[in-house]
Amino acid sequence: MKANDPSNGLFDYYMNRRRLIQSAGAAGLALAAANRLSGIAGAQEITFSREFEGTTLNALMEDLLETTLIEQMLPDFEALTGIKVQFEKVVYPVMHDKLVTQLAAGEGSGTYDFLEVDFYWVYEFARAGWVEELGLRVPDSGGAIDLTRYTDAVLAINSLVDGKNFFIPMYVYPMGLLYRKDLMEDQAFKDSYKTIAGIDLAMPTTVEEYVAVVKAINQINPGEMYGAAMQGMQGDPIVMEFCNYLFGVGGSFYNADVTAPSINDELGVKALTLYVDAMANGAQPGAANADLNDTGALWRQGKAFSSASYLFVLADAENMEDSQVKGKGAVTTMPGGSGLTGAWSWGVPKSSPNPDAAWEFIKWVESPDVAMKRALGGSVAAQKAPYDNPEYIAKYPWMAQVKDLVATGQGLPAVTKQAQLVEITGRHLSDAVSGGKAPQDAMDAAAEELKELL
Amino acid sequence: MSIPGTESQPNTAVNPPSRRATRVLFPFRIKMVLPTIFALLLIVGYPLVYSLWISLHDYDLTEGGIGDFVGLFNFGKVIRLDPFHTAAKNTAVLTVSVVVIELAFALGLALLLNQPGLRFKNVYLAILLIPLLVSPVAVGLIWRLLLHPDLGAINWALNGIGLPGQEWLGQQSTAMPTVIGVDAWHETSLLLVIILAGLTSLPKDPIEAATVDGANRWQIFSTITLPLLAPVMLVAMLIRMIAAMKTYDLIYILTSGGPGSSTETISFRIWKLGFTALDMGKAGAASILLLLVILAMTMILTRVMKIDFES
Repeated sequence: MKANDPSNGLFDYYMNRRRLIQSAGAAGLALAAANRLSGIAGAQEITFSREFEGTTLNALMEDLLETTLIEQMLPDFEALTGIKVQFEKVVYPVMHDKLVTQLAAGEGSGTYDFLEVDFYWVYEFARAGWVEELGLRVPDSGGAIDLTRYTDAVLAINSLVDGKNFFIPMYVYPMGLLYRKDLMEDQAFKDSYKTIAGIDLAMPTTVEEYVAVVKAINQINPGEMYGAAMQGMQGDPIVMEFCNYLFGVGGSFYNADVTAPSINDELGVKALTLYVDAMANGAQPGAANADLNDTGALWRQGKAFSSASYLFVLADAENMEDSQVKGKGAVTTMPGGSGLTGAWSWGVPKSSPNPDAAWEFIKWVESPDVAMKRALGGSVAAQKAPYDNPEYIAKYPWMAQVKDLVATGQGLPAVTKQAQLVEITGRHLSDAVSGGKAPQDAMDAAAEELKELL
Repeated sequence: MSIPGTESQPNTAVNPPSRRATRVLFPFRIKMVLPTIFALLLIVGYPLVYSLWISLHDYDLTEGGIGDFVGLFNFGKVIRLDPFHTAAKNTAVLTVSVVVIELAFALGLALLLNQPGLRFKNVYLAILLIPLLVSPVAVGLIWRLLLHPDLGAINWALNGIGLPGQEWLGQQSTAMPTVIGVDAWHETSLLLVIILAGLTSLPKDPIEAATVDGANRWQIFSTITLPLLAPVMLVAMLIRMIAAMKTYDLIYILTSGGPGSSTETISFRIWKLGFTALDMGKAGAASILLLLVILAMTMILTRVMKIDFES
């Protein structure tokens, strides 16, 4: 079944969750039936304990496809272990606040038994002493968890803190350059582009070339086609997007030793200058206050030629009913060769009321069999194995790019308060794109505050 | 020496009946309000004292529990923070603007609704109260959609009459005025209810007497209605001012404090200090500073209005 086959009802979760669950039920049962009682990982049979039968685990989860996929498989986990799992599903912006108040509650006093941890919370949670070092539990997991199943890049982004594995990777969300492959092949579009730009339309290889391309495309059919869908809202949206420009020009937040900010050096200022230019002259109106919902909608409406965005935006465009761009999108590495890679991971807080039962869940959800099922359901797998599965690549052709995106991608610098780094940087970036400060002044001000985080 | 046979009689000269009644009733009155006092202490008093306590200590969530006593260090640090200055300025602009605008609109609407013989008054009032029934988060989401530069109804309507659309929330020059406008839409109804209640309870005699004496409508309004309404307006102004200084949810939904820091308020900055920077000591200090400012402004305003009223 092709990923953009409209009869594939498995992923229509945004519009009709009941239909999603019903339509996925048959597929889920079929997939689970062969492994009802245990998972198979090569020659080693993985088993799970019933020692915690009757326990109910609670977790705060982001309300996305990944959570829905796992939620559909929870009856299997309960059948195996007798442990019930309840997800409290929320939108991303409220997760950090809810987690922090729980994590600071003290040992055994929290509400959540295990955590879904975003990549820029890992240092904060680990260095604050709020989470267990899960790497210590891995050897006794009976093969359910094997860190060699993940690439070093993935482990570096959201598992390792100060050389220790505190978290188990869950899924990755690399960013890259989404673009309209159909327009790249459309002669009329290419001719219009050449009339404006004076040169042939070609995939940009540098950030400067990319900005020039989006500015030219913005003039082809103003109001109907924008060069780029951009998200300049202060905070997480603008910082995540800007990182692709920063890394693309070879810049960084801090120097190599992480002893001083470098975001206001020549490369950092260049990245911001290009970013401001792209937003002012190549993006949709109101980009300075747009978030991921806005850019995703614009992409699905077919009104953007490109977007430096998450891979799952492409996946959504292929699967959502209202999408006007099914089969028309593709992804490549950000011009300049490096973009941002984000990822989520599993953690067990010290405030967990049931840490051992929580570990049982993590063993199950990251066991090879379940991880493969999640991947085949549409997850951007953190483990290596799905990318060697022809069925996975056939179903989701863009997943073939993930290896390259993750291999060339970078996370945020290894400071404890990465959330504050995002807040500081986002504020000054927003100041620059809204005309409040010149790029150099904005980066100087950001550097001044980023120094305090060292 | 007491008179025999009168020892059991109470000395009413020293303890008149009213004082006895007071001694009997006073403990009962206290007992009746004790639960409320207890609830207030628990919900208001304890958090206030705790907030003051942590503001005087080094308390970073990533460094374990409450640290050393640092006195007023956190207060000094917060006051020197540039983002705090910006937030304070934004909060002042927002508060003054929304109080003045909403008070003016509410007064005007209340005067219109209070006209004698107005038909369908209850229907108008019900319609005007609708915004107040919508939660601030929903208000923010609705207006974010309406103000969308590309898909929003506001720009669509402007384009329809030949005017260019605006990036309402995406430009520093328009973001705060837009937030003020949205807040005015949401909160004017609250002041309308208070002022209308005040208007309907004003005595009619002075107004009738003024009318008989030949005063025109403006003279009646400025010399009789407004002064009589002053205490009610003071209450409305205080309620609105205190709430406006604590504005957080609307900012969170509409702009996240941006673009830049152009719409970041003190409450929003306090939240960032506490939950992003995880520095509870400074967040506590900023909260106490906000409280002190609100208390000071309340006292000043009360004094000024009282003097005006008495004069």
